[in-house]
Amino acid sequence: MTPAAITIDSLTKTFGSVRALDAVSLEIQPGELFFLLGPSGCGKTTLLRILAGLEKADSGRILFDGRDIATLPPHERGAPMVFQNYALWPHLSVAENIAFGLVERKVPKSERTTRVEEALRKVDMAGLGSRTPGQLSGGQQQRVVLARALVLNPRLILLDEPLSNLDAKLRHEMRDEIESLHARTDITFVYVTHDQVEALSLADRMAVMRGGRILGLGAPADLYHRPPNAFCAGFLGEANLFEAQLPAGAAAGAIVTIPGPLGPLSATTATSVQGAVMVMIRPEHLRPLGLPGAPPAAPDDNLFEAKVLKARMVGATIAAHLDAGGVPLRATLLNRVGVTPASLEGRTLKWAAAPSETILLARDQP
Amino acid sequence: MSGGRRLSRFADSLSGLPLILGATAFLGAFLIWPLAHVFVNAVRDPNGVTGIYLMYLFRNPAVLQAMGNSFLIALLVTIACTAVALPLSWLFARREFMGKAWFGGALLLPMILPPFVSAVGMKILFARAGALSTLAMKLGVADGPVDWFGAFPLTGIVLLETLHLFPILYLNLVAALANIDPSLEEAAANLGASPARVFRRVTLPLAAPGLFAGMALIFVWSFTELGTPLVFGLRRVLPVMIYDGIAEIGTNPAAYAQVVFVLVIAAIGFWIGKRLTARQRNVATLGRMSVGRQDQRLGKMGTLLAWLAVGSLLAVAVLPHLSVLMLAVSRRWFLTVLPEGWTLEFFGRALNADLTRGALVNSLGLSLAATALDVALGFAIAWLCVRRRAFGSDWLDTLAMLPLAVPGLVIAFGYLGAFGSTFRGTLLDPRFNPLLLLAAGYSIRRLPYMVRAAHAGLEQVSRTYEEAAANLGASPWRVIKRITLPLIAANLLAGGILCFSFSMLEVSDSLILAQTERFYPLTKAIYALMDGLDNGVNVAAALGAWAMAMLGAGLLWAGCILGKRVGQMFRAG
Repeated sequence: MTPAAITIDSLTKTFGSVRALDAVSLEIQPGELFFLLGPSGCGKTTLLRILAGLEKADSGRILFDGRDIATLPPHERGAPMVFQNYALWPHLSVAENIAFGLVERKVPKSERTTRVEEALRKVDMAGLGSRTPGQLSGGQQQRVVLARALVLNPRLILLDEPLSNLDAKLRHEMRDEIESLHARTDITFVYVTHDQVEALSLADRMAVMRGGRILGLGAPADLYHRPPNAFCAGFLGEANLFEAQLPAGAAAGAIVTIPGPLGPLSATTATSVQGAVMVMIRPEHLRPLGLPGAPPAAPDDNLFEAKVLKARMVGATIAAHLDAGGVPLRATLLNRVGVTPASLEGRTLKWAAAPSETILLARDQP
Repeated sequence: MSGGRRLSRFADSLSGLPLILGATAFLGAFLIWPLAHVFVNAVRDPNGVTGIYLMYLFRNPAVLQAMGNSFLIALLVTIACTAVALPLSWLFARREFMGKAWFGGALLLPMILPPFVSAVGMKILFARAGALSTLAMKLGVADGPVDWFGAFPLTGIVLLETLHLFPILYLNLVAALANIDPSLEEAAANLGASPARVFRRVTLPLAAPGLFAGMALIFVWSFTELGTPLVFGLRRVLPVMIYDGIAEIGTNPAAYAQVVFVLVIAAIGFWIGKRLTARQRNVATLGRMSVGRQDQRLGKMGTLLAWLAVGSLLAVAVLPHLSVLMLAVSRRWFLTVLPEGWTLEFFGRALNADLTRGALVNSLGLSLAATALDVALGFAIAWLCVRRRAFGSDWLDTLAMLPLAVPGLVIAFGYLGAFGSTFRGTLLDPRFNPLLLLAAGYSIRRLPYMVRAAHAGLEQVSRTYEEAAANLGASPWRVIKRITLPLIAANLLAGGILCFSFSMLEVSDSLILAQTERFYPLTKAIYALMDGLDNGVNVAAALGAWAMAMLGAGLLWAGCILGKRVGQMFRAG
């Protein structure tokens, strides 16, 4: 079996009294587009900087392709990074910026020129090599930073919130760009972001972090639909969450019946749980019955009544606030002709939620 | 594991250790040791420790008179500088008018010549047989020749030092005023205060720490000034008394006590300035700087008045320089208003005579050496502090800033005492060969400016530039070479030019340490020529003019590179 591209083994890092990383272990496979996702201060950037050698861990091991690199200084790690603020050197031209790493690797001049041109072409910047970074727009600077890393033909690229300084339209463009770049190469990408949409839409796999720990690890769809805990559920999207008790333990993926404020529910366990648990239903998985065009309930659906307190049109969807016998819920409905927010408000409807979309997960550790 | 980690962090900071040790050794040998020598000798007698020499300072009528004179000069210079710089800085920091940038640059001109050199020209201009006296007689204002400065030597000293030092206070004040949030003044105006009331009740109180810090700096500089009173022949001021005491340095501890007294005054002034500068920064950061300042544009009348005021100030300020130039080109200037006969002969002689050519070569070599040392040391110290935060770097930073508080007079005296007695007859004995010590003294004195320049540069350069370079494969040395140095080259260059320019015309070290003609730097040669025969004073003036040209070019160059930041170099703390 080929070794993992990156093996992280119980990595710990503290800044003063703050635990930035708390015994983090992780394996990233060759060629993966791997995301580190979490709110600011969760330790994701620290982890990335430790991979680059710009910070040193207090303890733990890091292997690149099975080789321990903990003692390697940054310039010997061969893990080019795309910095959040770009870090394009203002005293060098675009071409010189891109050629920087090649010079350090003593690549002959003629080869340098061709590789820089090729890299510029790869990011749609052909012919702009003689500009200075100050003459470029934000999106162009971002492309140059990417080219500066790609030109080295690395096995691994580290990206630190690469799109956070771009406006929404450019962000979408660059997202596609990065995706296609990754598809065209077999480079391993480690991508740090706090934007769950970015992670969900791009990642092969991702780690959701909080307080220096990994709270969820897996493919985007798995984590979204079966989050192991309430934090992951809430961070990856909107979630209706309420507490419940599961006296007998259940393994991950089991379907169990559980009493709760909405009455007994059939639910799927996201992880092996017992005792104090949470029930999660995503707003888009709550289906109103009896509206024009609404499909009927399936035989095993969980059914309950809830009153629509407030409804707002968001565009493609309608966001509704419900009251189910004292339990506040949110529901997301498809915006269809004939179902106006005003016509929904104040009505008590029957709602259905499939057992496969009613998820039992662990309560958060404080 | 965590033990090993701690060890590796220790190793990281250790890698700066040779640098730290080297810099500390240099500062220890050429700053701390001479100072310690001065202190020890001021309180030592054959039987042990004694305070008698320090006490004697206050019993000796000559010393008391010198102290009184020194205090009086410093006080008058400080007041005069404030009177000039306060309205001036308000005009430049709060009003917009045509030609402001040009005038602002010209205001720095008076700094380019030590008052000691301009005194050569001024003395002739104001002498009994000089231009002004003659003019007064011709106009019938005076019956006979008037020896203006001979009668009142203090007037000449205060005038020259004021003209030389006011730009420093001006720079400090402009910086303080520029840092005040405009909305604070707008709020006062909005609540009904007239412009004058706004200035008195809001602007001035907010700028007060900066003002007082600058005043403390001026006080110390004028208190320790040696060259000007020396040229005017005023022996009864502390610096000159110390200078006169050099001859008996081995035998008479009184001079040591005087040096300690000067040092204490300087240290107090420096400490006050530093405290106040810190407070000014706090004031400045209070406001949010929410709005950009819109300086009020002066109308036609206002512009004319501003031009008139600044122009006449400049005219007076360059009068000493002008008089030096006149002296350098005049064949005979005696009992006439303007020189009789013009000549360029003295410029040639200044370059050709053994003494003067030697002095130029000495000063060039010494200044180059001191500048090279300063650039290297200054960058190393700033880098260790800002980038590595290495173990011991804070202490090194404090040490490198210390020369700001130590007058050149004290350092030179310390060298003479400490090195002269310990290394007799070697290259470290100033009486035998002062060149090494002169280079060390020049560089120590200017090191703070260089550290500041490098510090400012490093703080402006984002760390991620260096991280990105390391990340893409550059070793630490390569990062410094390819990224750090090019990015702060402008700061280093500007700092270096300042170091060089001020070393070229350094006065105290040069006058005190160079005692053989062969080793005279520029300033000492000028001093030696002043009373010389065969038009010595004209050659001295020509030499001064050459120096002025070099220094002016250097300052202009540094100003172009640094732009507005040139003021930061002369901050009080």
